[in-house]
Amino acid sequence: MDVGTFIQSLWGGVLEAGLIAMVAVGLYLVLGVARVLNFAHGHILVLGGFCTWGFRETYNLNFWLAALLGLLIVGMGGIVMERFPFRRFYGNFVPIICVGVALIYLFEGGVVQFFGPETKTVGTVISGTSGIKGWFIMRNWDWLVIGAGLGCLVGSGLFLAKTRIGRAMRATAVDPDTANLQGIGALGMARYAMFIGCALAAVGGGLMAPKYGASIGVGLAWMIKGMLAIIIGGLGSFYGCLCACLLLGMAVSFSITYINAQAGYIAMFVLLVVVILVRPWGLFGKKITVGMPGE
Amino acid sequence: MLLEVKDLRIHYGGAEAVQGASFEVAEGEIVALIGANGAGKTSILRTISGLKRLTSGEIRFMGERIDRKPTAHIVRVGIGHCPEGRHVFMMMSVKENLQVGAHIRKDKAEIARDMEAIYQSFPILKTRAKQDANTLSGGEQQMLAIARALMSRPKLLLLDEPSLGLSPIVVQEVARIISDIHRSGVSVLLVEQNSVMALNLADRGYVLETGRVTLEGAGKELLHNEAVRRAFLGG
Repeated sequence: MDVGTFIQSLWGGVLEAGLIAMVAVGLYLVLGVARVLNFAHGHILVLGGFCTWGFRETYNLNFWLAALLGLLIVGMGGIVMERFPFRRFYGNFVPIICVGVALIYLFEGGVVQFFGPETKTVGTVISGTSGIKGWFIMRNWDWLVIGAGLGCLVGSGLFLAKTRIGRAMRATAVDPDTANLQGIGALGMARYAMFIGCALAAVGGGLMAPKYGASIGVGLAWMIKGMLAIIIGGLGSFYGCLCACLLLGMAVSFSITYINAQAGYIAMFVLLVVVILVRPWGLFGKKITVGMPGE
Repeated sequence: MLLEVKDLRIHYGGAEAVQGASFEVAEGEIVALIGANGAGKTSILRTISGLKRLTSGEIRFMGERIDRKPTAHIVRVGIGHCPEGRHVFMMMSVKENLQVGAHIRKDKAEIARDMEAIYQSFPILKTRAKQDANTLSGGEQQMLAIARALMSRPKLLLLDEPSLGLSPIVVQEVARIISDIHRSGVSVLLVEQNSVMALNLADRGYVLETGRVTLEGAGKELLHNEAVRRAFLGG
């Protein structure tokens, strides 16, 4: 086994982890603060990519400007999603899941209707590669994605840790009634969570677009990756979620390098099963009792 | 009148937990609401704060009807609520708990000053400022919960069973804190099972039995009332 390939896979894992985290953090926020498990969250990521593609294709905008517009539009879309379909069903988990599934069909149908079913290619923004010769080489674009993704994640971590709204969101997530008693409006917090979650996913989708293109078909797969990260990390743990993203990214990257291209997905689920067997509450979650009552 | 509650009825599921309770709190008063477990005390406080909706009746705060208003609004008009069982935010530090308590305020300098004042009157919270709330003892958590409620600068403080699960010495400490708060100009509605402590502190008291107010009077008067002694004070 040569060291170069190993390090190469390591960085590939970081890249994949970053993209998973862009989905997972949004899912985590919306689940924690609004108690909404948004099944269409992966599609939000893809819609971010579509916005970027659309603005470049139609108005020939600069990539960064297009991505920024995508972020804002999709973020606003999140606010609309919170206000109309989800708000009616707060506190009732099953209809919320149905709404998510309905949104998936809406997004897929809409995209195919207006833009056609094929994958959209967004041209390269930065070309070339860098790294240390003989050790590891990555495309410059991938370096940039890692940087931008890391920036967004550190940013949202700091936002949650240090700001007034961030604290209020955390308080709402752990104890909604008591948060209410501090004058924190739960609906307002749900709106923030939805905006931030959707905007993060849109950034992820925008950053992915030059590499993978934009294809509505992959939405659900991303949502599932994000959900795996939340479960492995432990419900309610932000850092657990980020660690799980890193583990998942590594599992995908290494199994692709050392087994084959199809092994990535299997590796993620193997990781899930192993973690859940040992710690059913996830890596950093609060210990819970599991099993059927009385058994 | 600061707080007026008229003919309050509250249902839980099908059962009527509060069956037409009326009481009031004047500015500058400590009013105690005493009664056995299940008498509806906590339901009343939760309804005043808007966490629970009433079936009928009305609640006025400084003349304004607040019984259909969202909780966040009720906090903003000046009602602080320290819930039963303390409910501090466990995974947050003591300081963060206090900051969350000041959520409705944006005057940073004043918030910092209030926090300093809180640290003065609760030195233990200053020592533990950076620790997570779940590392605090029960008594310390109770102090934190009260301090957190004060950070919104309420005109009226609702205290739900602040003595619950605390040792007699700590209960005395809590009583001292409540009278300090009162002296600083905050009116207090105190719900307690520990009737001796509550009635000693209170200007006036109401006795609640199965969702009804059965007795009212000055705190000291109730403390010596024969029926109250028999029901709550063990003779």
